[in-house]
Amino acid sequence: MKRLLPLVLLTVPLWAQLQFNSFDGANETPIANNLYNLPGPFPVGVNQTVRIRVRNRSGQLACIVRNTASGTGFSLNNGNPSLPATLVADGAMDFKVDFLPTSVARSVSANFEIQYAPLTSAASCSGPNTPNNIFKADLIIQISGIAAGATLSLTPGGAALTLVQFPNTTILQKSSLSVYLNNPSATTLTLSDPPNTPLDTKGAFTIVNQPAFPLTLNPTEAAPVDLQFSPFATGSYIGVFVLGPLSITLTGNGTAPPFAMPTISVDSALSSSVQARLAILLPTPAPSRATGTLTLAFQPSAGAVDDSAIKFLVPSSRRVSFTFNPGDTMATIGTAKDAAFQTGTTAGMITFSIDFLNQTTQVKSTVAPQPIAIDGTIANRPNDFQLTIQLTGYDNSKSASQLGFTFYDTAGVTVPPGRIALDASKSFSQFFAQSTAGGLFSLLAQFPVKGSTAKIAAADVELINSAGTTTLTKLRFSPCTPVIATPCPNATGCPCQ
Amino acid sequence: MKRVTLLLALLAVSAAAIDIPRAGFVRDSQGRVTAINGIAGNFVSGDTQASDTVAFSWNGAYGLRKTGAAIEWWDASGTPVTTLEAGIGLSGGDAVIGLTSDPSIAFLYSKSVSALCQLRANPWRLQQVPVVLSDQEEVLGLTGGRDSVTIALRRAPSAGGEASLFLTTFDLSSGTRTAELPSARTASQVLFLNNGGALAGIDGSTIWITNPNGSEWTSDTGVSLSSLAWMGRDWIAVQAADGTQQFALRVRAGSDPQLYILPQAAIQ
Repeated sequence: MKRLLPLVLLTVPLWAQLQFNSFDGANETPIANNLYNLPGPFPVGVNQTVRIRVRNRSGQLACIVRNTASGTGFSLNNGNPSLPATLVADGAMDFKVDFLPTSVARSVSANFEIQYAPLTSAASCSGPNTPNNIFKADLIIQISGIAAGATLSLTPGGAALTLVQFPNTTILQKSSLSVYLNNPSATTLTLSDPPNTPLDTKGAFTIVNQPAFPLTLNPTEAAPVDLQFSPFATGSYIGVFVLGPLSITLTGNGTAPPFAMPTISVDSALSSSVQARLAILLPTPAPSRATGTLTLAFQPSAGAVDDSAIKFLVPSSRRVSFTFNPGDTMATIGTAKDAAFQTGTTAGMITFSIDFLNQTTQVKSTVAPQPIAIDGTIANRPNDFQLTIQLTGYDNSKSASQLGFTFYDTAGVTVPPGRIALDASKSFSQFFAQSTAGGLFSLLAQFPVKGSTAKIAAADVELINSAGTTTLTKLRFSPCTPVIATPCPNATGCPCQ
Repeated sequence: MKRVTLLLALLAVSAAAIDIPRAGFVRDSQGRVTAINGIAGNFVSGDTQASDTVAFSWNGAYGLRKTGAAIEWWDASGTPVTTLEAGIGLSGGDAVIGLTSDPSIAFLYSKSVSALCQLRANPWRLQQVPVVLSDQEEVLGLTGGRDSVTIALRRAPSAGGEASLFLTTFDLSSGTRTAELPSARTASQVLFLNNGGALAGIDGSTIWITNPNGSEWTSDTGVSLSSLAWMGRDWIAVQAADGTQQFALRVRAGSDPQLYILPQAAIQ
């Protein structure tokens, strides 16, 4: 009785029928000891195809039953021959093993196995005559080194980047950066697909120039890629450059456009008791919205104290904010295009400063000492034996000294004793020392008259301070209209309107 | 001829004879009346004199201050000298104050009860005036004298169009209309300047002054205006509708009007 042999897989071929060869498409080289060493490093993420030629070295047919590839990242190529298939004596059959490295490693290995059976002339590779004495031949594929794959650097072959950081970029402007795709491995690197786009959801990062893909990079070869960052608003941006397994973060910061330093438009010389205006100007239209602070400071002349009337009027303060809106060449201060301010009634120096985008500038306006200024006069005859002259004004040097009064009768003739002089220095200095209202004053001079005041028609007044003499001519006296609502003490005269 | 001589010149100018000049008083949007010291171009906020003020006007000779329940009469020094109880239906609500060239006579119109009163000094009197206005007539300003009152009336047009301004004079004893002059201006409030028939008014953001000779002066403040009132001798206070700005308008006879900004601290 014929004995049936059991189906056995023999790990050591009793009959070394098959030979593994390397094959580069033209040349075939036997692989010694079934250990296929492939020099690395191979780049991570780039598929490699290992070509293996299996040659039947016996004088007998062989049935190639199946093949396997085991090892992390290794797989059989889809283009391998369909099995089982017959391999004639001394014939060859080509196989491909794909290898996709997923991480850096010193070495990786895989086992490529061919299962086969010798064939007699009566047997075949399929059907009922399929041999059951299966042998296997194993090839160890060993790759020395898995490198990081393609890298991105700022210079050809430079240090691999993990982050590409663009310089701060003015909004609506562009920053360009050239980076390089490098092949740091010892083998040729083929990058089949271009980087993923868009690089970010906002569209701030773009690739403006890149090599054609598929891109083949020989060992140590680099190819430039030009990136651009164009922020459309202030703030931080983030993107990512993805090329196969390569993933590099892109960052950028959109900044406000630079402003020219504004200037303050105000007169360099100011008079006291004036409501003047000041404007803040830009030489070129504002590129964006920005705010600043306008400050007023007053340095009174020697010996004087500060004058609280010197300030901006709306709002009433020595410090106001201002704003430039895009396109403005003139700042908005409060709700107006200029700032009204009072110059007060004290001589000195007014300094206007602006603090804008961490820059400061200032201008100074001088308020020079001036002769006493009179804003209002009232010359009255409260009764028949008294004249009063009320003078309202300011002395911005606070140095009033001599007063002079000359009276005229209805015919225009000087009334004796002629010019009446008075040293009012002490009175004024006492007043100004206590006043909180700068150089403002209201002076009421009273003159007892012997005879009828009706005969006195007018008076000249002289006021002298350190800056000069002020002369008021022909102040005409009016009858006093008593204030009816107030009891009228006739002995001293009624308060006048 | 009797000789006129001056005794020893002046009695000397003492420090007490020198003071800080007062421009007047203003009522702010919160009803406070505050002193304004200074002169043209240089104003300094003074002390708050009163609060809860519904209407206020002071022209340097005298003034009225209306609260919810009373009317104060202020003298030339800016001191309240008497209080008249508004017991004839004038309490509460806004009012139009009319000062006159006679500092013993004033008028007050209560908008809430549509009542017009004449106020007199020496002795103090507050007398309702039998003036009847139509529903289409709004009192914008007042002036007058012992026997008559002139009202700046804004009269709604009968069929669309812009309201017209009239200066209508009434006889106080009978309440009858004795004269009426149309004005070419429009206004939301009017002030009689008492110097020969000149008028000041506000219209939107514009302040205007018309003189009897037909000449006009206008100034656009750039902000919507709500009221104007006497704040002192030759000074009118003009308040912005939003209460954030107040202006001082100087109206001296023989000089062009001058408009200044009052420091904000002085009005709030």
